Amino acid sequence: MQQTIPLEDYLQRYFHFNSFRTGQKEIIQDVLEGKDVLGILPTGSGKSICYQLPAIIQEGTTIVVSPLISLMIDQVKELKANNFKGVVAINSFMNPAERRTVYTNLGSYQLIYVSPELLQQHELISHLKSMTIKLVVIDEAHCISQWGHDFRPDYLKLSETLEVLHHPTVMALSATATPEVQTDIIHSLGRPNMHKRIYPMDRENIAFCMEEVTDDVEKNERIIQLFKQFKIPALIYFTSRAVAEKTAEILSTHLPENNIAFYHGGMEQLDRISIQQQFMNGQLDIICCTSAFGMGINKSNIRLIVHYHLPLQLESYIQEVGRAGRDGNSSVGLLLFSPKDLYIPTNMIKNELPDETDLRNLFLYLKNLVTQEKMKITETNEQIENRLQISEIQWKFFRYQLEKHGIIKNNYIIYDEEQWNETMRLIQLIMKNRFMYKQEKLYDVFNWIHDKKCLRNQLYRNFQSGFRNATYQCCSNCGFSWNKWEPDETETNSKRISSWQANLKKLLLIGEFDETE
Amino acid sequence: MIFDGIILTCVSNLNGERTASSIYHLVKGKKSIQTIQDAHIYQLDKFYGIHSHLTKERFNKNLSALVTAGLLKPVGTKDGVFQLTTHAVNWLDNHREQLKIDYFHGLTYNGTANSFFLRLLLLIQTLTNTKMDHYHFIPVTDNYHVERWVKQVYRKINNNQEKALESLYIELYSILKKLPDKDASVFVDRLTGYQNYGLSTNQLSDKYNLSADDVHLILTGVIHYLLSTIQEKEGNYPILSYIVKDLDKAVQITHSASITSELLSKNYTIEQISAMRNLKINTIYDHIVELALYEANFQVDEYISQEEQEEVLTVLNNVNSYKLKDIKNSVNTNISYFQIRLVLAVNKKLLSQGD
Ligand SMILES: Nc1ncnc2c1ncn2[C@@H]1O[C@H](COP(=O)(O)OP(=O)(O)OP(=O)(O)O)[C@@H](O)[C@H]1O
Ligand SMILES: [Mg+2]
Ligand SMILES: [Zn+2]
Repeated sequence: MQQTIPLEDYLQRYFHFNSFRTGQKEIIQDVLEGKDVLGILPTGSGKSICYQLPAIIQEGTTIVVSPLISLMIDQVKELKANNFKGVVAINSFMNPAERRTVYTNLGSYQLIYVSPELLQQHELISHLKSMTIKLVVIDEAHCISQWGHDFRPDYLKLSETLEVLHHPTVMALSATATPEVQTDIIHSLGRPNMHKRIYPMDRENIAFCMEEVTDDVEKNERIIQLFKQFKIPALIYFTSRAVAEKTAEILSTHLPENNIAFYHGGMEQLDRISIQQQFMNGQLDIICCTSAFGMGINKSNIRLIVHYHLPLQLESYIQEVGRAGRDGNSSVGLLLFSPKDLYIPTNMIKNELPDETDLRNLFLYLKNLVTQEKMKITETNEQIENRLQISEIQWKFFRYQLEKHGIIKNNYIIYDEEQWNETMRLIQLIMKNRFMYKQEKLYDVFNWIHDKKCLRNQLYRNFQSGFRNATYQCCSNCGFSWNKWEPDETETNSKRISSWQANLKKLLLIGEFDETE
Repeated sequence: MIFDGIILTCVSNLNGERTASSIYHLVKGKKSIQTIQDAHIYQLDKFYGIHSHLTKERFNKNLSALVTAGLLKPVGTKDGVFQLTTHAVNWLDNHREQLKIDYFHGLTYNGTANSFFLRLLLLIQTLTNTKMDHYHFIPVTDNYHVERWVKQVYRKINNNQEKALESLYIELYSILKKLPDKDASVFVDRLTGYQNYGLSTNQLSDKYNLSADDVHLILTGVIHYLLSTIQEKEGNYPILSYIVKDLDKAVQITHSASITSELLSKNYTIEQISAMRNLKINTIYDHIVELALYEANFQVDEYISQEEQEEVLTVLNNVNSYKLKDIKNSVNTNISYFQIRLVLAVNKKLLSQGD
């Protein structure tokens, strides 16, 4: 392939940047040469451009598999706002009519964002099969690894999908993958010759602070005190939606100078967009959120990330704290914990997975169908989840295992007593291993928060050898001082309350408000 | 409080003849004949589909709160059936003003209200941003049809944003000023303009001290009010009536029913469709009833003879009940439940077209 125009020109033309950042050019060149590549780059380093640029300049379609709807929608909107129109995000929020329109025009898109779950849909696949798929990107690729973030079996089916799509070039990207996870990604994608482009992922401009408090009341006091001292854009992470909501309310009453809202996966679409955009736009200062507001969120001047609850893995922590300081300026990650908090995460990982009783019920249910000679599964996923009293994720896990071990094939049950007993034992083992793995991950978090050594060193040591020195302050174990912290502060928006008549006038840019810039 | 008022009004009209979950289906806008018939019979059509974001859980919570507050009490032993207490009757009387009941025209506008509002939102956002020469804004909605519509209108307006915005201001102002200030405020705060994103449900509920349910209801109510005012005097509201003009007034049928409809038109039998789609025969029946209810040229004769249709209608008048069981017991045993439902659906459609 002849490359006549330098890549820098494209970068300038389509993204208005003068030069590539570390790693971008190497990764882009790899895929343009048709090489599979695994790229590990820090949060906020510009991974998106690694596939957006090839998508624009290559013939054919690029598919991006992405784990979070908010992330997809955001990127698509940003691209569209930048006048790149051949892009679409297919997601579960679309109504059937919208989705049909998109499917029939699928060939006209250069860049298609999709969730791994939707990528398993027959209708979509059959459309994609007839197109020229040039590149498949797995963003946040640590999700593929069965040791990765959430257990989403559809991620494990990607290698089959790649075959169906006639073996396109593959790019996997992540900011948080241990060497173990990297190997697992390459293995699950079935691309052993993937080119590894691994760069240091530590963030030099973020300082890490650990503070132990007695309870949630004290956490709130601490947070209020901090925001009285600093007027800065910030995120506060929670594991519980209800606590996020409640805390947003408490903070609002105590911090009248700040605009505060909450964000979580249980909100309706219009509200999610308005909160997210108000924050991007500077109308909001602080967001109390769950992990639904996270990966990929790209606001340049977030100065502080508070963790109100313990993350379940260091990987999640690195992702979430990675929202801070994407402009390179001084930022802080503060983790608040009380001794009581140590029990919550253990319960959470217990509930994520099905237990032995669920497994027994599952096999009873299947056996029952067999005795009645109902070999075809007619109930919907929802009905089965209800019947077995398990969550969506738990049923997906079971279903994946049953299919993998040949107990269900194309919705038909295949009965063989001996094999069933064997499989049941196997699944049980997998569940146990999985639980133990998650628990170990959690112990890593426990160890880290209690560590007396440099927190930066300890945070990154499982991911890479060594790390760069902090640009500003390092961490609370190396003597962090809030009083010496001088973040860029934002101005106080006046919360002047005016009449709806005045607001409507101002909104529609009528009369004297005409001159607002 | 608005939501409470609506629940109480529904209970009062239902007269102990329906369970509380029929209220849930009503405000949620369930597309079933039973629900739409109830809306007509009990004169609750204005509430049909006005709260599509409601969850069963929140509804039940509200319901038990009303019981605890001594406003509702169960009717005898009937499960899930309620009636008003005397306290509630007074409460409704005292709050009549604040309940906004006159805003709502659910059955008429529930199919168009949301699209109208999304169009209005995106149009305002587009006009104000482009007027300020700002072309890189993130749209408030990514609904494909709405986006396409706004693009098309934007091309037409072609650099005349100033005039369009002025007209929008005049039209919106003249309608909103007829409303209490608080309702107009909630509505205006929800709008997004240049460098100013509208408030979320929750932010509105904080700012105005309203429950999230009431925020939804006020917004829906104001939108219905706008729509009915525009419709009354289209000439006075050129821009706003342009936004509504081509919106399909018909309630959309569900996706699944539309697939069934497609297969029927290809002459597959009900049994074949049920097998092909791996759905129960009864589900396919439900689809056909839905089609009967919403499709203008539905051919009911294909499913039940003229004579049998008349028989059902006669019985319907005689027993004076819409209960399927009552009708079934009084007609020829050859006539199935499915056929009775079809006849009811088709005639319901005619009835509602009359008004
Ligand atoms: N070469 C470049 N020069 C200047 N800015 C760049 C360059 N490449 C990317 N950026 C900017 O860096 C920011 C972060 O990029 P991006 O969202 O792709 O990060 P990311 O690596 O995907 O982070 P995360 O791991 O958090 O998803 C964006 O605002 C992007 O425009
Ligand atoms: Mg990213
Ligand atoms: Zn340190």
